[in-house]
Amino acid sequence: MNDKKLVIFSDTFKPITIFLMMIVLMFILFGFFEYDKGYLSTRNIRMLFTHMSISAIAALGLTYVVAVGHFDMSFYLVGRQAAMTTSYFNKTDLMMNSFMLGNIHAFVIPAVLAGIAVGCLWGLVSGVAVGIFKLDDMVTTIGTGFMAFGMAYFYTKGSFIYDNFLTSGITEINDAKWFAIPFPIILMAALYFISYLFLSRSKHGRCFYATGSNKVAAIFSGVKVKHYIIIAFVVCSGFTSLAAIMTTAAQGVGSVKASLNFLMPAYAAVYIGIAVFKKPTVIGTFFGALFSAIMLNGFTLMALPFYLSDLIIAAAMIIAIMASKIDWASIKKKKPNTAPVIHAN
Amino acid sequence: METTKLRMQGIQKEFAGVKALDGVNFELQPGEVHALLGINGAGKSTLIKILSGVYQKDAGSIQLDGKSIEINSTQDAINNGIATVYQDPQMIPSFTGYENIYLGAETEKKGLFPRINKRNLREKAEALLERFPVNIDLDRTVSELSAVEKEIIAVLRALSKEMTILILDEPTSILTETETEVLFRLIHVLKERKVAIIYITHRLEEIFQIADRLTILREGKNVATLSTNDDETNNHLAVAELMLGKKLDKIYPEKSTSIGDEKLSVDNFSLAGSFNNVAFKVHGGEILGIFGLVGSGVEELGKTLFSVIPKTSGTVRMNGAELSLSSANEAISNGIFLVPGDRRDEGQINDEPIYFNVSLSNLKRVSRATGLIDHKREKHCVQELVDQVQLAARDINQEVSLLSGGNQQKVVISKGLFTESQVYIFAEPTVGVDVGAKTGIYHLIRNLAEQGKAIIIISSDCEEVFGMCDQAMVLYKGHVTLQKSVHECRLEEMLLCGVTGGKTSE
Repeated sequence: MNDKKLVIFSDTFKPITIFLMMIVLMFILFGFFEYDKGYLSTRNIRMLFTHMSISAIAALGLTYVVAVGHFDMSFYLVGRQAAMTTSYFNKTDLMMNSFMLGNIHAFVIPAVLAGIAVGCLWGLVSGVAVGIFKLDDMVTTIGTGFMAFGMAYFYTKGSFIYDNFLTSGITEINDAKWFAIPFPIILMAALYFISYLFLSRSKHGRCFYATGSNKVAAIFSGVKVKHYIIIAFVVCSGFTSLAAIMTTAAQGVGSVKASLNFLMPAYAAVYIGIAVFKKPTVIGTFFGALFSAIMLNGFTLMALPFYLSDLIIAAAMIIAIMASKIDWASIKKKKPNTAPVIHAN
Repeated sequence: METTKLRMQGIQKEFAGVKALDGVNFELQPGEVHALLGINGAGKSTLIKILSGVYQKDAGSIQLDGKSIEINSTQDAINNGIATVYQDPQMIPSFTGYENIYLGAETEKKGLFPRINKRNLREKAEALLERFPVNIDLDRTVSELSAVEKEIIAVLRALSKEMTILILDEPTSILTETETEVLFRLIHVLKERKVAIIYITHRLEEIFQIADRLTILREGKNVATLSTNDDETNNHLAVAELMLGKKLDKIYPEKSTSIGDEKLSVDNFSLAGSFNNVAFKVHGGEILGIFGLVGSGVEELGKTLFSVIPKTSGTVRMNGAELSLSSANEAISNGIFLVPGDRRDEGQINDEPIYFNVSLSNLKRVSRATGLIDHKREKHCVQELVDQVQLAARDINQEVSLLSGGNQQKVVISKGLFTESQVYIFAEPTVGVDVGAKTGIYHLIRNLAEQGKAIIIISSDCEEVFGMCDQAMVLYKGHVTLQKSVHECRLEEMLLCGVTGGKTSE
């Protein structure tokens, strides 16, 4: 019985150990070079996690889509319409006339929800197209994404929305602190915890992974494959929309470019997670996002231009994918090629 | 007397301790159509794969035109003029017929951009057609061609490379009768041009139309090589008996003794293009066996009962109440479970562990009210089932892709047991399962019946259906050709109904 427990232990904790070692290494590396700039200060670490929370929430959404075996190229564009929707409601008179909840106007809440709802709607469109009508996921989501992007311009023809940002309290999404912990970090932690329970511990999570691994066998096992594909796309767009609204709150301006830079970091987080955990998991994505965030933060303190950080993180993603394709066990054993493997088409 | 084209002697092949071929001999004359016969697992496909270089023989010799040769790869086989044409040849659909014939051999010129002279190719193709006259339009793209025309293109492709031995692997299983005629005409032309043909089929009546000789394999050994001109052999029953050999009674458990209430009753059940007007009743404790060859509609029948494919018409009643099912999910929640025949694609989630697969169809059973999985209960339930089916695995955390075929099938069966269904449909329950594991699976199925479940076994292995079931049904080209208690029918009768539709020759 003890043996069995050990196996379960190593299956989950080996990858986490790998990640922790990688992260400690990064901290030592940056801490050594950037110590005088306060790399290891509480302030910088809090900043690191605050910055990370936005891209980590987008990556978390993407994890659902990758778990059902699909790709989403629309989420970073959908987020832009969501951010503009919230900014637009923020600008209306309804906002300033609504009652106050602490130091925010109550209408901020429906404004944020409206943005997320618009995002979810696009997720529903993609999900139905891919899940029910079996359209190609790549092409479909590029299509839906750019439709959303086009619609993001409807509100102001593309110009910035500054109105009411300083007065409505919407910036509190970024600035508020609970027990000295910034609100974005709390939001991230909550969403990751719920998603961990949902994807890794619940019966629904099993169905997501079954769908992603072998759709036909999942159908034969009674899994409602179409439902799970639709849910995955809706969650992905919804989470990204929230992340885009968080960016808007952080920047204090409604911009059609709100979530433009989500695409690569989200895929990097998910695929670095897959490289270590062998499948898209919530914990894997979290560590992937943390890993990219540490690098990004370190490079920013080193005053590296943004395009170089992007370049390095993208390269890390490719290296991670390559590493995950290598079958280390077979290299160690060097088995002679006996029976040829026949792949049935 | 012409020299023998091909002589294979004492061929041996072993897979994981099981002898697939045990000293098989095979001879082929130029211009001969030699049929290779045997039930599933007799070794005919292993022999063919050794000849075409997919497998390597463990022992034995191969002689071509009197010279000893070694075939270590598929390329070796092609270099020796041995080509295999499969029942569904792979081609580029948007290319024309002649472009596909010369695919990869368009020009001898070298360089980065060797020019392809399309007219030249066409002329070469026409010259080829002159040598092997067959009625086909090579200017049409392959996507517009029928199944038989694609096979003809594949044969022509082999002939363009000067192949002298052609292996036709169940070429007619997806063809209609008129299409089969077209293919046979081409085979006659090939015979005149001294191409030697190894012909594999399940359809006995074809052999007497087209083959000169036939070799029967059983359990990896030669049983007989006969000439089809011989009056004595011109008899389906004699050949069928030779294919089956002595009955292996012990493989199969005892038949049912007590039959319970009616569980599932199906009436007027049809799927357009696959099967028509199927009707049957299965009782608790009873096994209904449905036998039919590939393409007879049995495969679709199983999937339609399980509602993976929507039926065209018909009613399904469970314990007397009519069911209207629209998905596998609904079928499972109504107590019907299908153990699919294609484990790899339909049965299992390959890269997930055993416990994941076993509990997948009934996650409710191991979930708390919150929807979270109770891991302790899950491991306990799965372990219990895994012990019950005697699964040989390290533990239940092992990935199913690492298990043997028989053990994978036991995982899929465990998944079915986990749903605690009332009706179990087994499609090809022992395909790719070795003989030892087979017996274990048969006993598992019988045990299920003894627990009062209703069982349907769908198989293209006639012996399996005959050995396992209490009620027998045979499908031929979508029609029921035999339906009665297995105690009242003979194996030969069933085989005949499935292979020829029940019409005896002469």
